[in-house]
Amino acid sequence: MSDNNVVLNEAYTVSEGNLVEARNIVTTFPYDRERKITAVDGVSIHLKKGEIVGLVGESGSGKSVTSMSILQLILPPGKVEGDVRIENMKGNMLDYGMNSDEARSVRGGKIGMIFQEPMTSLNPILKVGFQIQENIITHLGVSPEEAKTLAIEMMTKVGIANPEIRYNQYPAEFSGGMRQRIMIAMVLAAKPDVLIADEATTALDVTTQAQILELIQSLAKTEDVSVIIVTHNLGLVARYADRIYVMYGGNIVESGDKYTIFETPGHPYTRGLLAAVPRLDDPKDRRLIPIEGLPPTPINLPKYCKFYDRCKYREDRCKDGMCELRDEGNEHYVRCVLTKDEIEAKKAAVETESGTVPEKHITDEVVLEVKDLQMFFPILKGMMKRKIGEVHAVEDVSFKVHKGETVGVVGESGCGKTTLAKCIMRALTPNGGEILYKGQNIAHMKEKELKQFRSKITMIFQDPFSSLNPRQKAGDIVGEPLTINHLTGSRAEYNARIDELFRLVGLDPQYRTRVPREFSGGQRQRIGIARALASNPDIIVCDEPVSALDVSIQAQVINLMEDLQSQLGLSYIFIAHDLSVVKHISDRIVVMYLGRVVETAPAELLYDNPLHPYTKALLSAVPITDPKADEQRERVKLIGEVPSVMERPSGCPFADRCQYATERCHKEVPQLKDYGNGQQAACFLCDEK
Amino acid sequence: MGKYILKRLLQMIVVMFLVSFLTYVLIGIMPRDPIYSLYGSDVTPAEYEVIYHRMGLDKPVIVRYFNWLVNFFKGDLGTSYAYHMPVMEIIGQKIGVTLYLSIVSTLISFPLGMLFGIITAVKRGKWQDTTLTLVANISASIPGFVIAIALLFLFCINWKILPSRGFTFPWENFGDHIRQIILPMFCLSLGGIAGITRQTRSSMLEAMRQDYVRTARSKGLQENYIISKHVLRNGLIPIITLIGGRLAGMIGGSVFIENVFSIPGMGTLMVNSVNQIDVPVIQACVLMTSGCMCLAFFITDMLYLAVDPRISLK
Repeated sequence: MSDNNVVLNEAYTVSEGNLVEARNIVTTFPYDRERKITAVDGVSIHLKKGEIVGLVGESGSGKSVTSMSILQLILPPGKVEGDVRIENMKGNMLDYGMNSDEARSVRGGKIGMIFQEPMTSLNPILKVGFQIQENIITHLGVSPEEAKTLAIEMMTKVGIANPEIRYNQYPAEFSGGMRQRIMIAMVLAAKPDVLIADEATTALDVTTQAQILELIQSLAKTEDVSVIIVTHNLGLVARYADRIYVMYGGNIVESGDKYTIFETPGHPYTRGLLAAVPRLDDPKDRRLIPIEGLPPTPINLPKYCKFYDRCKYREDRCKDGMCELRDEGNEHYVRCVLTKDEIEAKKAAVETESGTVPEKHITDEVVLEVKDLQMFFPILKGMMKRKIGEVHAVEDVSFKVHKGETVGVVGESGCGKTTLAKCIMRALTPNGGEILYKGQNIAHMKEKELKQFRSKITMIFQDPFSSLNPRQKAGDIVGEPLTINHLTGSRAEYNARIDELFRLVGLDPQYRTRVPREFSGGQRQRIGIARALASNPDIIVCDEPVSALDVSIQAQVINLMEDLQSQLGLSYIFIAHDLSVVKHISDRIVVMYLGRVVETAPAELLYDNPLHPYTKALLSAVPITDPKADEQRERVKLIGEVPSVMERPSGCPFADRCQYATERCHKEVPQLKDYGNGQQAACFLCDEK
Repeated sequence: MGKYILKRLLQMIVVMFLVSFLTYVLIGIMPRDPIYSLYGSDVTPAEYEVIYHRMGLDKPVIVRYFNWLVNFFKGDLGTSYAYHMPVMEIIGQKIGVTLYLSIVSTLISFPLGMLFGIITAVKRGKWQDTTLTLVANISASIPGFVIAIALLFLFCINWKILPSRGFTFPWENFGDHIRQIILPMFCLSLGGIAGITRQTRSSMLEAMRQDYVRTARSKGLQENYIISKHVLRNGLIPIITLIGGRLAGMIGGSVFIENVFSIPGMGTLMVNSVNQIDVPVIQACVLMTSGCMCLAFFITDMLYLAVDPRISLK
């Protein structure tokens, strides 16, 4: 259906079968006296009864602002123009004004919204029950007693145990996943027709994310709610959405059925995105194809296609003006000057063949070995800081890293992966076990002896924004390891080395004198990598190095890391929660759960034949950006949430959440056992098979 | 919760104990002989010797402090050098006046400051905000005693409409009370109102930016309801912590105001006794002030407990 072919008048609400129709939404924020930021630039979307629509885009694409504009949640001085029609509501909703009774009856009443940050989206000083029933009373106009009954009923439906007790608790007493359930209960309790989930699961662990989205999916059916999933994660929409809108630079560049979008993407941007994200079912040697360049700044956007600067298919006629969404049939719309045939014809000429990753040189030499590593943190209490217990953050962790190899460490929050990294970096002194760097135990070395090893094991950090000193020049940041370790003799040698490092990570050495804020996120991460490389290390510990970056940029950084490894023979310990990325870059993967290694195997084998139930659950929680392939995968669901490390269950740490757990699992801790081909798992059930 | 209160009470006692000990030791260094101060300079050496022993001045400072402490619990704080009266009696007359001034001023400045702060935050950028913020900034930057002297000159000397001195409790003579208190109370509260207005404003604006306010809006709640239910309490929690500090500041501020308007309160007493090195009175004044402050902070903690559920959870 074309969104612009109807006569709009006072009486018009929506076309038959639609719940929401938004046309030509333009949302702007003043930037300075003359200029303004155009966050959304003429977006039209509609939502049909009973469907789940995905709104995908990278940060700054305007996807969240679009959903907030429809709800009139944009506060002045931000300005929303356009036309929003809602079922059973007369006229353009935007004409009523954001605080009108009409707008308020839509917000929360007809359209409910869940936000990204479960930790801050609930009022900390009001009981969750109050916050739920407040929504019910506002929109259903029932008595407080009735509202409470409805609220408790809804809390049960979203899977909250003991809702009567939980009703009177404060948000601080709930975990992140549970708070998001409360948010869902709060929104659905007012019986809306539409639920907007704005990055609602982004801050959650993968298994919790899968639980929440499956809950939304099933509630959409039982409660008769249509859903808009706003996300940057292509895999999520591939699995959970029916229809997809792809956004870029405040425009919708493509929309259509999910199978169409993922199988025959039309717009060069969509094609680029799909080539840039690693997939769990990728062949081991697939090289990601990044989208070169940077997303447009929303100030003074061009009047033509926003993707022009980064597009491989661009032609001069692209600059003639913004083209309309072209109907490709079967509800597939593409906003590109070039037709499908033209793109296909050009494809061979412009697409650099996906190619393979540069060859790895893995030798038998073990550069790092971790043996039975243990790290405990004391739990202190009271004024005198008495020790009342210990948190076992890392327990009996062992693995080897060969020269030139990448070992991936995956696990959800609280599994001890960052503590492990800190121990290897010797930012922490482990309580027990050994860390052997080329045979020498550095686990309990004194700082003085350790100094010579510091330059050999370096680190790349997660946040490229806060891990660089904002007042230091890029050249000095990269050069610091050189100065500290006295690695360069003369000033000229130092300068030459820094220029070399800049070139190595793909930065212009002229940028040496700039400070971090003058770089983009991806460039900052390159500086971080150059810093890690400066002292010629053997091992680089990478703690979530790409998780803060957009997918198109992420691919650039991953490729760079792969190139550097092949070029310099580096070993990586790659820590991340994103299984697709870890699988893509790693040769071996270590899966951790509550401080213990539950499985370790070569990356391919781990994906093809996971042994431990937790690995299976983790793998199946990660969707593949190919809906058909994804539907055919085995799905292992998890019970409950990651328990706190303070309440470690006796026996197998995973026993409480494992659907196969036996009595033995609750009593004994299973040890890692070899199952051939370099695969080890710690599970009693693997023996029985 | 009960444990929390108990813990705070215990901490308070420890603080009071330390304060009293430190002041005792520090004031002991002052160059004034307690015996000559109390009995005049015509005491004979023989008499001096007797008194010296009777007062325990030959004992080490710890023992003397301990004796002082025992006497304190008996309700005896010694005898004033200047007035030759029991310290308890002197303080008893004065402390009521100062406490009355401080408490009433706090009771005036908090609600007013909060009210103005809320108005400026809700009407951010509008004329109400601009005017109130300007007035608040001006009043916060002029020291209270400057305003006090100016007002004293205008109202009491030039126009002669208000008395320039004295203090009467409202239950003694209400008319006199109002006439005498209006200027000091204004001077004492003005800075507080201004400061609280500014702090409330920024705290409210901070609260309005929070994600949960956006959540509340997305529920279609009315704007006034959102302000009163979701923003107000979160915005005012940081302000409540200021009550303790404010009360403490009042006691310091009243030193000036009491002197300018010749009000016989603790402020005047403190200045006089420091001038005359009236050791027992200074000691008692410090103790009283720190006691009031401890109490003020304790009240703050209890208020926190009442408004922020996160504290009782920890």
